[in-house]
Amino acid sequence: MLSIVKSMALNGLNGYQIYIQVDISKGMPYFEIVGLPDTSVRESKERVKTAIKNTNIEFQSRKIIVNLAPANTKKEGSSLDLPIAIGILIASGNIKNSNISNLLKDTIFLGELSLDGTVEGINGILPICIEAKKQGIKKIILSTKNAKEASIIEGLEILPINKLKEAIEYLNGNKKIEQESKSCFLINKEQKYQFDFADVKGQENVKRALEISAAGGHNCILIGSPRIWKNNVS
Amino acid sequence: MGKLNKVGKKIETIKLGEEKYPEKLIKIRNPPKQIYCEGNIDLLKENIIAIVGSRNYTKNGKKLAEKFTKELVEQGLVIASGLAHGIDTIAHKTTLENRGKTIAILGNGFNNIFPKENTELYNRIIAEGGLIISEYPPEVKAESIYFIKRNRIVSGISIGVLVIEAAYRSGTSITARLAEEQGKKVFVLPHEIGDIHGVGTNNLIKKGAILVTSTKEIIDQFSYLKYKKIPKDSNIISKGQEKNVSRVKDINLGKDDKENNKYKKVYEIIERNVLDVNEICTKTEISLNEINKYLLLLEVNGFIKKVAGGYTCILDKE
Amino acid sequence: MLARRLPSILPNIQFEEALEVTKIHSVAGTLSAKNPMVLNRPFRSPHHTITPASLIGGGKMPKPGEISLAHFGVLFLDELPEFKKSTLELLRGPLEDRIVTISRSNLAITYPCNFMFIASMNPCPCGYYNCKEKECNCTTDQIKKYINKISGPLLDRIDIQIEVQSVEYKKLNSSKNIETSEQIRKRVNEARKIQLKRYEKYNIFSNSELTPQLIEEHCKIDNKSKKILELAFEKLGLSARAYSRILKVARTIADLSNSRNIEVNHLAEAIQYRSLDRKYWGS
Repeated sequence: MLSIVKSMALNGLNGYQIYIQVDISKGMPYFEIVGLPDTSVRESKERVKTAIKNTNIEFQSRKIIVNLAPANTKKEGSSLDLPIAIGILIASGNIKNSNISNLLKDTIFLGELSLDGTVEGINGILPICIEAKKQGIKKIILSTKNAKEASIIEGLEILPINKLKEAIEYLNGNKKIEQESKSCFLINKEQKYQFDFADVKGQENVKRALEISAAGGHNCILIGSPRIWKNNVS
Repeated sequence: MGKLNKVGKKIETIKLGEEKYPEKLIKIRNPPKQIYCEGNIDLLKENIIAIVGSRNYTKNGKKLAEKFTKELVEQGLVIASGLAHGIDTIAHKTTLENRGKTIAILGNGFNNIFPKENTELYNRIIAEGGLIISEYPPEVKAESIYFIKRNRIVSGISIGVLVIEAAYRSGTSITARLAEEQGKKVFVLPHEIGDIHGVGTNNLIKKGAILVTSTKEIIDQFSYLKYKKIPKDSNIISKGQEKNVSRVKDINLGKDDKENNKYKKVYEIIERNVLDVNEICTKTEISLNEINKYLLLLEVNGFIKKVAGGYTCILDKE
Repeated sequence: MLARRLPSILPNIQFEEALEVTKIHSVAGTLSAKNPMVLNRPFRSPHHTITPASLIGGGKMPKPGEISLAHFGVLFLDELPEFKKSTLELLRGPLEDRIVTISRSNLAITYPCNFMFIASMNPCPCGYYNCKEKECNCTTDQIKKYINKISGPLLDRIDIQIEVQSVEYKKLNSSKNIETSEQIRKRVNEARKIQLKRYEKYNIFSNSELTPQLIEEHCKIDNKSKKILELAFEKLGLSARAYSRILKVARTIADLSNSRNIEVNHLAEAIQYRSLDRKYWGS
């Protein structure tokens, strides 16, 4: 059976969608990932295999082909572990839901798996979320460790999970995942800086130069014996 | 004898054997066949002392060169040097600043001043009654061997040679060696053992040069010279001060009297001190935002200058 | 240390800016689950042993470098001449373009890096050149060599060059009321507001980003100021490339005093911030 699960990866700061196509067919036990995976992606084979096993699901010894489309871009990192595992579980029939295609349509999966089935956080969540929203994605299933960062973006349903099991139960329609609430960040809240210019006595002209460079964004070089500015904190 | 070259300089050629040929040079081992002179030839009859040192000097070397030059000028000596970069230039300049007379001996022809930057200094030396000597015809270009050769003239016309700073195997050390051969006295300032700018001078001391730490010790070496005590506020400085005071009146940079007075205030506060911007601000009670205008205009108009540690007034218009 | 206090007077970060900075930090993995968003302008101060890849960005799996992590904030390089010359030279492009492109055989990645570049250095190898209290033991050649470790094109991109003098301890105690960072930051914010409004249509944020055409338009000076500028160039031996830098800085100084036009004292102050350009350095 064939399954297609969506995920996303980054090229610089720009995200692009990746379709994880998994096909399981009869034949000699075989597990291969194609579509220009680099070493870290290829290693995900072992992680996925063990994580599924440790979630008390039998990992089927059949011919499993995973293709990461578009196949011409190099894939890096461990963020595709979770979608690959989900893809395999759907293709193998461990996840069964008549509504599955509808569920998967505008959902992406992000996360690294540990051997015990825990979903770990990944880097670059924010740019991925921004891009996902642009491309019409509605739901993102990811690690709880990334949830807060993802919730900066409005208009996305962020579904944080701890274990692979939760995702399986959710897709089977047995359990719901509680949505992460939008977090509010106060920019420039009055904060105490560790150092204050009031502690520096003298050097008025240097302070003035730094003020100018802060105001206009000017590059600035300070020339003087290092002894001076290191001792000058009185 | 006197002929004008193409630049219009008045160059005098004196051949060996002519009556005018300086007696001092006849005595050296290989006197130049002819010398080309520009400026005041009579200076050669005075008591001349050569001040030499490396082109690459330290700030301390500069300070010492200035101190000794000034004091030797005050003792009435004429200062000779080689118009090269570094200590030579400092010796010439300091002499002129202290109203002394100086002789520059070139290793090249008059039309090819080397280094080029010193052309201005060259003209100043002549304008202020100094003398330039070269054994090479005006068209000759500078070559390193010529500089070594001219060193025998530097020591030849002098009663002694004062070495400020010299690295190992430098031209300065050669001058000192030549002076020694000519029976001239070589004075050397001592340096620390680890100081690379003092390797040459310390070697000279080992070879028997006279270690000096003050001008008096140099003068005392010559029985025919007598050390004159110079009061601390020597007349040369007070002259400068007079001029300094009068220059406050020269300041006319502002639109009106009120603004002008501010310029004068800044100038008077700086006076002979070295003050940095912050100190000037506090003392004049002008804000940091405003002070720069006054400082810049005073500076570009030649009233004050930037030196190590801040600003100071220019006493003597250069 | 003075430069370390700089973050306390930086202008407030806008939400869009913060989002962009967070994106970069997210990719680099410097965020924590506790603080998932960058809420202040970043201040990065890498050590001088830094490799080109970690300064500019790159590596086998390309990651943003320090210059991108300092996006909309400050990149502070202490003891600038101690950095490898080849590493420093890499800064030239990003300082000008405000983006950096890392090319690999099969992909090219672009990261933004609109940062403020702050550096500190000794005036000479021994550290006492132009110092009041102690003599400098360096030769002119040594000083020149030391200054030359920083290439002309890089120095060119630095608008403000200022000398720091040591202060005697006696004087330190006598200083009157000192401004706090908050007071300074207030002025900085005001000045930044003026700039943001003025450059609304041009998609730039500050005076430092002015292009030659925009300088012509927004940094006009009257004839009297022009004369002073010419005189300064002639007497102080400033290099010609300092010209536009001086005008940009003068514009900021005028903005700080909320002045529409660049006045003589604004210009004069800007000229004073060209210490290294002057002839006297190392001569």
